[in-house]
Amino acid sequence: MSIHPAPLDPGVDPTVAASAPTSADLEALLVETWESYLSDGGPAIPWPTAPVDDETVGWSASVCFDGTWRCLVALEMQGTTAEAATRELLALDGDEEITDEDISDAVGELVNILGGAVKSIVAATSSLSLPVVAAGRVALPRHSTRLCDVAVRWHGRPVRVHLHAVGSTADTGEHTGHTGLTGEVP
Amino acid sequence: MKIIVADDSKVMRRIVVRTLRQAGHGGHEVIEAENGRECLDLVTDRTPDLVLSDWNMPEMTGIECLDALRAQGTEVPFGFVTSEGSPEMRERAARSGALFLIAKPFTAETFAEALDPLLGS
Repeated sequence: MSIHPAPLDPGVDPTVAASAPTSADLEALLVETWESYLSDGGPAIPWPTAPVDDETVGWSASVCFDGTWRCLVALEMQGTTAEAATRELLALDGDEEITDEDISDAVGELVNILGGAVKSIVAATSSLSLPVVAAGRVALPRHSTRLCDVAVRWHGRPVRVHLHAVGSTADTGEHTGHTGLTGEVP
Repeated sequence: MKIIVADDSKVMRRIVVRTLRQAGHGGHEVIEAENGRECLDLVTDRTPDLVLSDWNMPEMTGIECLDALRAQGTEVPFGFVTSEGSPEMRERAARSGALFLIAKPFTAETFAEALDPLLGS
């Protein structure tokens, strides 16, 4: 999947960026989520210098906020990491079959949990979308601005979360939610 | 007792069932629903003793399911297990008649705290 850059959007309300979670917040939420459901695979350790390799994003997922706070949370990991997470979440043995539908479900649920946790620390009224999952990297809506980018090391590999401010419908002339994203797995 | 677990994620339904067991409530019959609409139908057909439901689901959300149940006079005990735990959501859930809202990520202790009064410890 092609990589869509996140251009700065002069139409984004500056208060959005001011009220957004910090990188430290995002990192803590990521670690907490992994500790809660994926601790059998070892701890998720903050990894500020995690390598960024677009070619190794095997699975990703995102949720959007729409309302007075318009943002997108995206989760990315390698294919083997997504498979390991899915096996642990479903409590599958190593020889049990795993499907793309299982992985999609698992990665989508993880970003859903992260999105809900992000929402809980934002003092704004917004609705949370259902997750969208992609085999590869989810594309970002046009007119989005990257606010935070954190990673943890799990199973020796990076798990990365991005937070993006999304321009308003009036600014962009397009819908928010996930209509600007591609690569959805049904 | 019969418990309906409603969540559009199979992964989360498995986790909820596992956490029920870890919280000391593993002996109950669990019926799974993939969305609020299916949950609504199952409550009518199976008369459960408790519903544990996600909030944000396709077809019909959890809160829409709860409102529909109460509108038809069904007073089944209903609790949310959801990724959103803001004060506004909790207030909205309580106003519709939910007994509790457990926010993800959760622990077995959180489940026990919410469920022991209903199901016994």
